[in-house]
Amino acid sequence: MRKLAYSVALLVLAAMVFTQIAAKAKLPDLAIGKAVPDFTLEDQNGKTVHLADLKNKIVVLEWFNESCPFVKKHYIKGDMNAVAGKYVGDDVVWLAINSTKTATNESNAKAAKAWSMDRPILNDATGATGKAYGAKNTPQMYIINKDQTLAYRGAIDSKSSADAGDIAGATNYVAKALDELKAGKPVSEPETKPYGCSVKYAD
Amino acid sequence: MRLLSIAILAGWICCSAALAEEKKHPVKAELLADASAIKPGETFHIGVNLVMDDGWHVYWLNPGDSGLPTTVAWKVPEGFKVVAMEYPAPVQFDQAGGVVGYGYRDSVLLIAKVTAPADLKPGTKIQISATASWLVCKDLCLPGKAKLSLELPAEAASKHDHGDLFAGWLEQIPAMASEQADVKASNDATGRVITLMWHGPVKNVQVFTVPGDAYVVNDLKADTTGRVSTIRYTTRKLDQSAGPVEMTVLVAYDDASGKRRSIKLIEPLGQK
Repeated sequence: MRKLAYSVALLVLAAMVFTQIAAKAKLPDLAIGKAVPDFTLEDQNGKTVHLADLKNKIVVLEWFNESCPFVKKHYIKGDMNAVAGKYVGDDVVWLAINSTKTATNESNAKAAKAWSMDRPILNDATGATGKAYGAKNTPQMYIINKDQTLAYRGAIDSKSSADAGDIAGATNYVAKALDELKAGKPVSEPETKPYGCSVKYAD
Repeated sequence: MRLLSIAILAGWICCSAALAEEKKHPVKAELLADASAIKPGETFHIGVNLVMDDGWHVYWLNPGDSGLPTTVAWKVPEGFKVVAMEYPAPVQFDQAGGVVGYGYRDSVLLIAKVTAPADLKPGTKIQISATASWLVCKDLCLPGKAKLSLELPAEAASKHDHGDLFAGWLEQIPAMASEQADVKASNDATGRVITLMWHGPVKNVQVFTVPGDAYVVNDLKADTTGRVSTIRYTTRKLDQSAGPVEMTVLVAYDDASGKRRSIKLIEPLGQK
């Protein structure tokens, strides 16, 4: 036990030294109401999606990683599909973006099939788009106004857990914001604290 | 280790999604006590010891930019008192893309203080249990949960166990700042400024905050020169309907003997 306690102490110290050496890149905080970064990414079928082409539509971005338990939480019972299905149409486009370093069009296609997602999962394995948006979590949500300014950023809902049983009692911030936007109202909670896994960036 | 530390390791309830790969869970959980026999009226400690595989981490109370806090629910027999202790000082992990996490690598012992009733009858078997849940991450994250139990005998004299393990972690539980430093706090044009004038030499000062969901802390910095540490940060309110709250600021440091310790301050958030 003594040995264990010492090795624990040593490892803790080693960890601290390591973190002080590690470089600290800072992700930007996109401001509500400001223009969002443009991107061009491929979906799971190899089709190119260019954000600028979606002007005059409300665009929802959903940071995605099929291995993350917080993402699974919203898919195993179809909740994310249900919310997306309710809003996607002439006015609203919903794009999942996978910035996981190991993501490929094939892995995204597999995830889309497994969870019956009929919307694009964009491949951002380089992490460039995720970093431009300051995405730290999966899931992390952004809503873009028709003029391509930021309307919402933050969590999918109000209960930060990985338990699908918590969805029913949570406020879905994205649904709420989309309802407000479609009714021509300002988003009442434009910014919330996202929760989830860290985005598994390449660097 | 021997004797009565019968820590029963229960299975984890883990990720049952379509795409999960079945692998061995990277956390081993055990319920331990710093006593192997309990005397009537005695106060002792119990702890959930989480041991992570190489490269994996679990999270502190504030997980940082991602993750979930590790939690423990304690259960002791009627007549016993149990009080969860604060979490030991975390370490910071800087993950790819600048995503910062706060938590524990390798292992952590989360501790509660238990007081036995004065009329405890020697010969009684004491059943203690704890349910721990966590999120463990490396290249991916896995939720974990364990229901743990421990049986200890009541005896006329107490017997100690796991002394070094408990002592090592108890030292890292935060003390009130005033015990180790004189504290001054004020606001300037850049934000909050806290000055700590330490009573003894310190090294490797690191600061952690617990702002909750309605506020964010930005630009957190700590500079230490000699026995003076200056901590700076700015705050921003996310939820405009939130009122003022109190935030714990935890300062971890190495003391003169090189041991990792921590202190805490309670700071206002959202005041006019």
